[in-house]
Amino acid sequence: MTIAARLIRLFTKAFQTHDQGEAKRPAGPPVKTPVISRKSAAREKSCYLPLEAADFAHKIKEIAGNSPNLAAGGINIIGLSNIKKHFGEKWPRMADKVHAIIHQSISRHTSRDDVFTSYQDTAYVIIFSRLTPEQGQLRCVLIAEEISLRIFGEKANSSLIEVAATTMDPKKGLSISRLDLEEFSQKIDHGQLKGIKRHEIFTPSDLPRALPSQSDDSVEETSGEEAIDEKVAKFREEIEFLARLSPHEKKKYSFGHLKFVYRPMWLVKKGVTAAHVCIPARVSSEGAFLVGSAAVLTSPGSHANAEHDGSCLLEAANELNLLMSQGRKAVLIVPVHYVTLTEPNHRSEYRKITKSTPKEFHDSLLFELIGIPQGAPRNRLEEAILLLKLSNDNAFIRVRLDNRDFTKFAGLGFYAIGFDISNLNEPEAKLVDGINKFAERAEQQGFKIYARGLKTRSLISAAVCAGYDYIDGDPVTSPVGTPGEMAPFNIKNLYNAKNRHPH
Amino acid sequence: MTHVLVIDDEEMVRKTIKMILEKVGFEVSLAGNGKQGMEMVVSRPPELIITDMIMPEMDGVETTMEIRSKYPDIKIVAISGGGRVHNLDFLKYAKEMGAHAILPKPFTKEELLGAVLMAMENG
Repeated sequence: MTIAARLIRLFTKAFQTHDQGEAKRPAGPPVKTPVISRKSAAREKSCYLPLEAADFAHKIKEIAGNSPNLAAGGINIIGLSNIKKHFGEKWPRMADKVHAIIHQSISRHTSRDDVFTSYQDTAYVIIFSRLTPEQGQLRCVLIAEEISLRIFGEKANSSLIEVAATTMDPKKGLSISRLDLEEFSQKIDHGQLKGIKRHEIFTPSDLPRALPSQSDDSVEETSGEEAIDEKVAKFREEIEFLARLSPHEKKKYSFGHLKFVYRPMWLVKKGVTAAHVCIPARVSSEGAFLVGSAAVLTSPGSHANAEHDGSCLLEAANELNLLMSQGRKAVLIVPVHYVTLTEPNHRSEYRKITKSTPKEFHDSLLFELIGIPQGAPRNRLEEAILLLKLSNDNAFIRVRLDNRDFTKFAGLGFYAIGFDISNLNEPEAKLVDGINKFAERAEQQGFKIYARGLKTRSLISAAVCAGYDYIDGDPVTSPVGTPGEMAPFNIKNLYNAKNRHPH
Repeated sequence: MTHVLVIDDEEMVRKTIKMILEKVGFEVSLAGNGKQGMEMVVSRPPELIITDMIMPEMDGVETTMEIRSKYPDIKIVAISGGGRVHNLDFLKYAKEMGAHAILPKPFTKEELLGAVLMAMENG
C-alpha cells in the first residue's frame, strides 16, 4: 500500500468517529507526547491545532517511520481552528466554501508526487514527497498566505491560520512544531532566504532527470539566488492579484469545484505524445465524474464561457508554474471561446489574465479557439487570432467536422485547424468519411490539421492514414496525463495490450 | 471448395475481389468492416480472410490480431491503400501481428492471386 493510501486510510477511517480535541488513544504501547516549540507555547491558549492529540502524533509517526523522506520534515500541517472561530455561527454555512478555497490553494502548490488530506474539520495534512524541511515549510507558508488572502483579504498571521511542521529528533522522535508565520513572511519579504541553496526552494535536488530536454546546464544557468526571489515574488504577485479583485470580479475567476485534467496529444509525424490539452473536470453533486464540456456550463454567447476560459488559463498557468519550478517543460493547450475574444467586456477581462501570465510561459501555452459560429465574419476571426497571438504565435482553430469553407481561414496565421468529435454520436463509417473529407479540404489550403476526441482505434487509424498531424482520443492515452512528460508513440503503441478495448 | 471472407468498407473493392476469386474456384463471403467480419467468422470460419486495414468499427490490424489469437488456423491477407499516408505502416504492422501476406492497393488480379497463394502456402 502506498504511503498516500495509508495516510488517507488512517485519517479518514481511524479518526472519523473522534470528536475534535477528544481523540481516544488506541490500545497499544505508550505514545510519545508531541513537542511544541517554546515560542509557540504562549499561543497555545489562543490557537488550537490537534497536535496535542497523542493519537494524531502517533499516527503521523507511524506514517513517517518507514520513510526517511517523510521523517525528515516532509509532513506539514495547516490548522483551521482560528478560521472556524472567526466565522463563529456562520461556520456551517461557510465551511464548504472555505474548504474549497483551501483545497484549491493546496492543489496549486503541490505536485502530483505530493498528497494532502483533511483531518476532520480542523486541519489539512500535506505530505511533500520530494522537498526538504525548509522547502516544505516555505511552501506551506505560501499556501497559508494564499488561503488567508482569499478568505480574509489580508496576509497570513498566526492568529488567523496555523502552520506546523514535523521534525525528527533522534532522541525524542517525531515532533510537531508551529511555524511563526510573521517571521517567515518577513524573511521572504526581505530576501533573507538567500541562505537556501540555489533553486532548492522549488526544485528538489533528487528529482529524476526523466525528460530528454532537461539538462543540468540549463538549470545552472537560469537558477540562482535572484531567480529564487523572482519566483517567490511571482507567486506572491499572482495571489495578490486575486486578492485585489472586487467580489464581483473574484466570483468570475472563482474556480468553484472545477478541476482540470490533461490529455496528451499524439504528434503523429514526430512519433511522440506531448502538448497536453487542458480539459475541465468536475465531480457532480451526484458523484459522477464529468469530463470536458459536460463539466462546464456553456452555451454560445453565455458569460459562463468567458468565466470558464479565464479559469482554464489560470489553472494552466499554475500548472506550468509548478512544472517549471521542478525544471520540467510542457506545452498546454488551453481552449478559449470565440465569444470571449470578440465581446468587449469578456475580451478585456481575458486580456487581463493573459497579460498577467509570465512571458516565459508564452512558448508553453497554446490556445485553441473554439465556438466559432457559422458565418463568423473574417475580420472578427482576425481580431480573435491576433489577440491570442499576443501571448503565443501558435493558435489552433477548432471548426466543425463538416466544415466546408476553409478559404476564409487562409492567411489568418494560425498553426493548425481541426475538430473535436468527442460529443458527436454518428455511425463510425460517417465519421471516417468526414475525417477523410476534412483532411482533403484542409490540405488544399496547406493547413496542418488535428483531430480530437477520437474514441476508437479505427477512427484513429483512419485519421493517421488521412494525414492528420495531431490526434487525441481515448485509445492514445487516458484522459489524465501528466504534463511535462513526453513519450514515444507510434502505430504499435496504438494496438498494444494495455490499450486494447473490446470492440 | 475453399471459403474466403473478404472484409473491406468499400463495396467496389469487395465485389471486385469476389469476382476474381470466384472465377478461380473460391467460395467468397463479404463483410463491410472488421466487426461484421468477426461475427461471420464466429458463425462460419473461413480458410482465408482478406482484410482491409482502414475501416470503421474495427480496423484491419485489430481484426488480424483477433483472428490470430482466436482462430490461428485461418490464413490472412492484409490489404490497404485507402489513406494518403502511413497505410504501408499499417500493413507492415499487420504482418508483424501475424498476417501471412500483405498487398498495397491498387493491385492487379495476378498480384491478388499471388498474395492468396502465398498466404495459403505460408500457413
